[in-house]
Amino acid sequence: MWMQSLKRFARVWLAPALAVIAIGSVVPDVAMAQARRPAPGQPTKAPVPNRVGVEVMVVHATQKETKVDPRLKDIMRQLRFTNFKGFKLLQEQDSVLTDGNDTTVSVAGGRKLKVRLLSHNASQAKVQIRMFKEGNKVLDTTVSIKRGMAFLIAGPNFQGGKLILPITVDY
Amino acid sequence: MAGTTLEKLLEHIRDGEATAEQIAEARELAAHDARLPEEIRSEVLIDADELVAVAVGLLAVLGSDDFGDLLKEALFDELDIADDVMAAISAVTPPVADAVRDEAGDIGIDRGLGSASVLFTAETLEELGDLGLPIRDAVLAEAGHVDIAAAVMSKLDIDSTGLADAIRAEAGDIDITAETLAALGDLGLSVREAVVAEAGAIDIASSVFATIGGESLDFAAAVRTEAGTIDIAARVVTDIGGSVSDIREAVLAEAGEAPNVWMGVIEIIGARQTIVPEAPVIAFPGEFTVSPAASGAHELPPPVPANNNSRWAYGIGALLMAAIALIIVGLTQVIPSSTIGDNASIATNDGDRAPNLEHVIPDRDGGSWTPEAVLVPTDMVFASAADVVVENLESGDDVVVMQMMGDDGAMILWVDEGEVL
Repeated sequence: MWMQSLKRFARVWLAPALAVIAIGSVVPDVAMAQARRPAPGQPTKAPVPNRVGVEVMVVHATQKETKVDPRLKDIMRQLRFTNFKGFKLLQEQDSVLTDGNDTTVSVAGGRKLKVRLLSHNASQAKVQIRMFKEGNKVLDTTVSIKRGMAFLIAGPNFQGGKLILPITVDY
Repeated sequence: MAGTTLEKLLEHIRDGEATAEQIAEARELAAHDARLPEEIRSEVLIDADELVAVAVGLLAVLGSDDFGDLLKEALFDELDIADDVMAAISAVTPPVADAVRDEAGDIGIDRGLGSASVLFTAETLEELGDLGLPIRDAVLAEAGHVDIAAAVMSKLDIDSTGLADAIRAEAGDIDITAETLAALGDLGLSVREAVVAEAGAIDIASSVFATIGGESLDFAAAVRTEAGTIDIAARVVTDIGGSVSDIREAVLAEAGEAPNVWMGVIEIIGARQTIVPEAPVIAFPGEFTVSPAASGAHELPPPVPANNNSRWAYGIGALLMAAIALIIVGLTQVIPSSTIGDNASIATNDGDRAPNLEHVIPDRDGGSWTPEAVLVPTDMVFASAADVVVENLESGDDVVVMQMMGDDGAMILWVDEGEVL
């Protein structure tokens, strides 16, 4: 007879109270983890996580179009080093790698980009980046980049324009 | 005997027999009754529409009625809702549970329970049914020094970005956000920052554009459409005094040769041609090269030739650029700093962080200029040549790879595949 009242009481009063208790315990941990995250390029004394986030974006730059993909607004300054007017984000792939592991990104124009995390420490990560087109090697390079930073690979041809690949290593 | 009085008053309320004075007394007693969860003590018995439900619930919590099992069942029903919510949002990454586990390390649980995956709420509620203890006290008693949140989050596989939705789903029609934020008020960090940080790069802009259909819209055209016929230039000129023609003449008088104006404007807005290090890393087909450190830069033609405009068009373009630059300067003087959001900043050429003031670029179709100046927060930090070491560089046949620097010194590996566009 009182079940509906009990359900309402549980929903309105008890569940939120438990949520407050749980969140009160969780958020400090999350906040502390964030607070310990160093600024990009800055080493830290905190333990270095085993996993490293690698983000690869594939941007198509063209003279034919003048539209700029709104998702690229934050990095337009870096993309305008060319004289292209139109920029479109074709794809974006996030991967989490441990040392020795790699990820493969299919890139427009029949290309594949392989990113292997060779090593990382408190201040920088070393990655091997290989690009293949139809099975043929286009690029094979190893770079050490400060943690949390991004760099650009650009120039591959695609549909009358160029491809620009911002690559971010974050941990 | 306050407890006994409270329970009697609650029974009256439950049966619809309580007077306004009795309700007020019950409310006062509940506010100071340590057997009730602290989070609800001062909030209960306020809403007239909820009196009966709250009275029934409080009696169950206080163990006065034989509703312990029913209350447990009701609460589990609500927890089931949480499971559904979490299942629905489980695809969102990265999960906060992982982050919490990473931070928490190994969870030690006393009382011989022997497993980190024990669900405290279930355990607690079972005891609640047996003992009639207030839920919060029981939960806290179970928790001891163990990180109950980690255990609960682990069991439920809660992820961060869905947490707010889950809370809202649980909360029903009460404003749990305000309560939660009040409870978290001492943390010194905003929930938003924590959630955003955990969630990774949330593309708010794309979400907004997806919502308003911006993918298929010319953003500049949309802005113009929204802006109507407001003549910003005229208003700025009015604000700073003078007239458009005065300024145009002044610019022409000061400008001298058009190319100089062009370069001056470029200097002002920070749009530079592509520059490369003095000792750029160049890998010719099949060649292996170790990068020297970039010590400087000089200007080279950009990879793609610019439009070869006629002289008069070049001059007009330079004049317009100068006018727009003056308008920008005027705007920075006219617009009060308070109109700029806390998370936004004016573009600078400081090198590391991507600036967030978009260039003013020409609209080729109409020959007019499209103001795309938008203040947006940025979080991607581009490495300069000093932040990146190219340890080896190989290229395929007919491919030339160069290390270059773009605007603000961002490091670029330029891959020239040798094909004609």
